Amino acid sequence: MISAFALACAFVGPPDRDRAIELAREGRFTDALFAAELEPDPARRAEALLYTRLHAGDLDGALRVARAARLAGHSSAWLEEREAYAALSVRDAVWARTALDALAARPEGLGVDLAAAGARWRVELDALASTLADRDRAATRARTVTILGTLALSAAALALAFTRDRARPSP
Amino acid sequence: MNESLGSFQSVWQPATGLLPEGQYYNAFALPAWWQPRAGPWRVLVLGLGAGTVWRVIEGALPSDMELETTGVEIDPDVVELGRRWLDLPGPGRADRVVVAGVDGRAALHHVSRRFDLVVLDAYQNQMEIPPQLASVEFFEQAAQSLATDGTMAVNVGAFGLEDPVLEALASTMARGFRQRVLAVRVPFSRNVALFARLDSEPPDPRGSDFVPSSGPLVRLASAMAIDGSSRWFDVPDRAPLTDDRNPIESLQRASVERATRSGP
Repeated sequence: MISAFALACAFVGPPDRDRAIELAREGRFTDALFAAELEPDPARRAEALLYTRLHAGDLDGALRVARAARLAGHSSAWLEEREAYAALSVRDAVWARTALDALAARPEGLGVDLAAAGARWRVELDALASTLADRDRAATRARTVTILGTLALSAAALALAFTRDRARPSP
Repeated sequence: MNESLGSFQSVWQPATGLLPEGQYYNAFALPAWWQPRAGPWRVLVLGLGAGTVWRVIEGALPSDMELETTGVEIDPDVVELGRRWLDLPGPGRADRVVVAGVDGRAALHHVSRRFDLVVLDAYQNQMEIPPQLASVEFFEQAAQSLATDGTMAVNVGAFGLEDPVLEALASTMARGFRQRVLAVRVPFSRNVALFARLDSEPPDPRGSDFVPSSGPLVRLASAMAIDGSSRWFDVPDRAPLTDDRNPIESLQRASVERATRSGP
């Protein structure tokens, strides 16, 4: 869809990350993505794309943007914090841990807001990891009980058959 | 009404109209805005629950459209709870007909009127689509209950647009309708809405008709229109799901296994 906004962009020059964020806040997500793609700086472009996809409710898309930026070496502390948030939203503990570890390893240090957010997501991550571990333990328990129950029933059936054979009078 | 594990069977809020972001019911209000016209908007809901879809559509219709609807719910206790607690209209209203205690597939045999929109929102055991509501024969039958250029919308719980359940269901629907099917990710959720039309196709999310020019659905439709949020399914030579061969349960298992393999 080529909107009036997109056509206007072609004449007035590329809008930057802030323009994309503004459009996303207005709910004009297609225009926001278009503006984001015109941002020349790769890290700022990734930030605008991730912000737009997060606000459009495309959490998987936002995570893909963050991963691509990280792999290309264009990530930023802001991106990694948002990546952790998105990963926690889709209950992906492994992904969230990867993002938080990257955030913690930033050599330049974090501002107060990002440090506080990182700490908050780390608490949420621990809670999520605990929940998932409980779930996995319950699944293992259920599988074990099923296997042991099946073995016990099989043994009982064999024992019964053996007892009947022995109890049958020989001809 | 929460069925546990975060799976909500019905949702209520005091005012009719759109629910907060992330609620897939909102997507079912879109077809009326794609085909705005004055007069009645006739809707059949298979899997009515406590009437959430009714309340969402009722409050989000264009001002000159009036909702006339029939809902089918297999569990009469849910209907009773809905009437007691969630403002589901009681018996006696011709524009709000509830058929309780009947399976959606069976109910289609007795539907005589034609509907502008048929909504399928039926699950069992929280996350399993009943096989009798996921076959090409069912979709052929549902298509026959639509008015000219009517739309069918389906709620699918799916892990993305490549989910095996979604692919099988959408292809089966396309075969049943002999038309391409549009799958649209519902923002902030693990749900996908499928849309098919009887005599044409739903609007393309990349086209100018998909996002209404005004009204309550502009933001939702705009979010659905972004790149990567929708997928078209062509009409296949053979339907993946039929009444005789319906591997929906194994596909659901494959869906969960595929989702757990994803990672950074």
